[in-house]
Amino acid sequence: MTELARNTGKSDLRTEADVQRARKSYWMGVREAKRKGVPVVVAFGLLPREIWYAMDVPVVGAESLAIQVSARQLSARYCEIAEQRGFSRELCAVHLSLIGMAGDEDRDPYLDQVFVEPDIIIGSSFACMSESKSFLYWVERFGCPFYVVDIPPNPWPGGVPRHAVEYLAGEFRRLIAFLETYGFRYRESRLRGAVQNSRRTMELWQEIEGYRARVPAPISAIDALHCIGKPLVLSLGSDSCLQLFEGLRDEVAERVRSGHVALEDERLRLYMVGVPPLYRLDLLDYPARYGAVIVKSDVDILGGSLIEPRLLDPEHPIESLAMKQIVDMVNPCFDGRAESAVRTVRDYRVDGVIGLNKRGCRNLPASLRLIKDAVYREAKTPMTVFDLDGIDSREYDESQVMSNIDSFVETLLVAGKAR
Amino acid sequence: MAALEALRSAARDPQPVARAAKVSGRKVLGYRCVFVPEEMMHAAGVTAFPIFGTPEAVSLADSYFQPNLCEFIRNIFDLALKGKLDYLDGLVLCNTCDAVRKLYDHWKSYIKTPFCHMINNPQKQFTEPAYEYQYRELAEFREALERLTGAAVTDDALQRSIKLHNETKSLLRKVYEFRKPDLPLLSGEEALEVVMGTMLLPKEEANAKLAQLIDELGTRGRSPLAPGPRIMITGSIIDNPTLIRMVEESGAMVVADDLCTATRYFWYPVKEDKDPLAALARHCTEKPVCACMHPAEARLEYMMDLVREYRVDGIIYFNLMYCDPFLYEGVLFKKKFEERGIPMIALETEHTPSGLGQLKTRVQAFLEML
Repeated sequence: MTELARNTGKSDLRTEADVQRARKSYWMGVREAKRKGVPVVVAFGLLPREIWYAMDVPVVGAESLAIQVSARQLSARYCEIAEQRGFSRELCAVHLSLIGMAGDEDRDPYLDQVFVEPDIIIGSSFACMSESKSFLYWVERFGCPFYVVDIPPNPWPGGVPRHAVEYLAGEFRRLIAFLETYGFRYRESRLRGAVQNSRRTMELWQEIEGYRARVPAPISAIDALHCIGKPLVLSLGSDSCLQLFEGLRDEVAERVRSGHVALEDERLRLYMVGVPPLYRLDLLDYPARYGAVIVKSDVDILGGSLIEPRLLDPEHPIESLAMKQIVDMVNPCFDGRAESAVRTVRDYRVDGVIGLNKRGCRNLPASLRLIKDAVYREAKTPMTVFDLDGIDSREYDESQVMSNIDSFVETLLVAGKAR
Repeated sequence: MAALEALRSAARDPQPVARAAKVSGRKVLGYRCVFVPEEMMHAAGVTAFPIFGTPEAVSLADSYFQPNLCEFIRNIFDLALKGKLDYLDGLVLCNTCDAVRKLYDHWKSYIKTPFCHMINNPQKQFTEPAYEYQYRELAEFREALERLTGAAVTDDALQRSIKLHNETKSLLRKVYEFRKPDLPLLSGEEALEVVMGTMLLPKEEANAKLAQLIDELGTRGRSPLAPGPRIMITGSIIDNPTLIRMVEESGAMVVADDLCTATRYFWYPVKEDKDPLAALARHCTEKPVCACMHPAEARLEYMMDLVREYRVDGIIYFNLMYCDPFLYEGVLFKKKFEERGIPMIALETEHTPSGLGQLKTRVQAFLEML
């Protein structure tokens, strides 16, 4: 394994500073709640944040914690702790590291600063088995009440049936009732407001994506991670998230007006499917040496995917959130995932797709062949796939990864894809 | 022991059963797993064919799935790509693990049988909303079958099927009684093949064979096993007796199991109800046999019942590599069983039996400890 250098994958958008402030304030709020005796929830990160916001629930999104720890190149340590406790190395590194964090008796200074012991744990059947099963260890370790939100996958190409939306809406109502037993107050008007905020955020996000699709690209995938992915993960539905998106939309629009671009002399446009190495984000800039820019990557959807805003109806907030969750492209459903990749390739005028096979993930990697075939069949765009675990740096071999990118980009250039 | 041999023989070579059904003109639907109600397919007049893997190494499927996905699922997909499941008119899956969902995606896109259906069952059990949701999903499944066959699946037919399949379950329970004596009259290896054979054969035929087997076992007189610790096998799917044989050759008596190809298949009968769809929906949402489901405590209690009933001394938890739900629960259940005085060992295995020497060493060490 190549020794890791300091992570330098930073954004130069002004909005990033605002995002940092919002994140800091959010985490401080969680700690402050704990200090005041308010129960802190550790939850699966893609559950509707609108509900947390509407009920003032201090929530630590489990995956956020794993991402932060990975970005500081600490995942390996926590994965190893989990393995020492009997968990297989073949499991998802996000969840292995979470188990390790929970099981660590002597946390490193960074984790010690951000870790808050949970009072309630909420898992989900969404996306993969790990999102509920890995929490069993946390429940055991901290002796917390555990609630699982059952979210149906989406195998319905002809549209989501009513009974599925009703079932999930019922699950959200039961989640709310569960939280009420711990003293949290539910106000429907506040949830309506949160759904309205989400709808507006989706509209802004659509606008931003419109700018991002331009040639040359005004912002990079790293910008999107910091300024789109992070706020969505943390606080979709909140006033703060909405303000961040307004600021980002204005800034990106300004960049387009002024001709500011992510990469001078852009020659190739790439789309990265899968989680990039969060411990080595500067890799996203690596293709720049060939004049290639990653115009779109899955870091955008760390907090859920962009959906049609009108699906979010503030008059029916819970049903809207149920529908949003089912149609999210992270939800196991080939049709949506592959179609979305084809749309991305077309809309962003992508020349090549890089698919990352994350060890331990059974969801996305098992769709890479379907995506590869779909983008080639529908958009005549090539895709390369190679192993890269975006969380666990023990699996990272920089020379191998760079060599994979080199050969793919060179092939695109030879094939005359350059502008 | 003619019935024993007939059932074991069906388990060892499943294809003739499916091909025979095909020749008879019935549609053949492959299915996985124990949450797919074969009663419904039987009532629709189609052959429900449980798909098992083979010991064959995966080749073609490796260019569709990453190698760190369940080898059992890759094996099934490999067989389909190679045309070895060409007798199937379709596939029925349910919402269990990640790999099964991906098999559904790939089957739809690359195998393209005339029928491919996923019963999108809830993963939370023992709640009324889950039951109601499951009811709707089964109603949709019934409609899909009706579209396939062009004939109605009537309540009467469904009730008759439930009765028939309950009889199968009851007979298998009686067969398992022969595992309870101090020296069991049925080995673990035999038991696995008896259940797999039963799953494969038409139930009318399987029931006759099981009744005959019960008579045969009643006069067997001598245990096929040497005295040893009483072991329960659990974990991910086992569709080949190699591992169980290895455990028994190591000096254990495998007296109980908790496997998709064994107890999980028959332990819980369907409660016969005026509304057969309601009975099936209730059944699916109240049998806590799979690590994919919630709450985990219910499965633990069901397993503890097996431990008590079969007087188990120790548990061997065989985990297929990359089988996440069992990998997570295995670690936690080990602690829970040990707190209850039941030692457990968890071993990671591959679907294609390999590395048996190493596994045997660990099994022997475990048995010595008992």
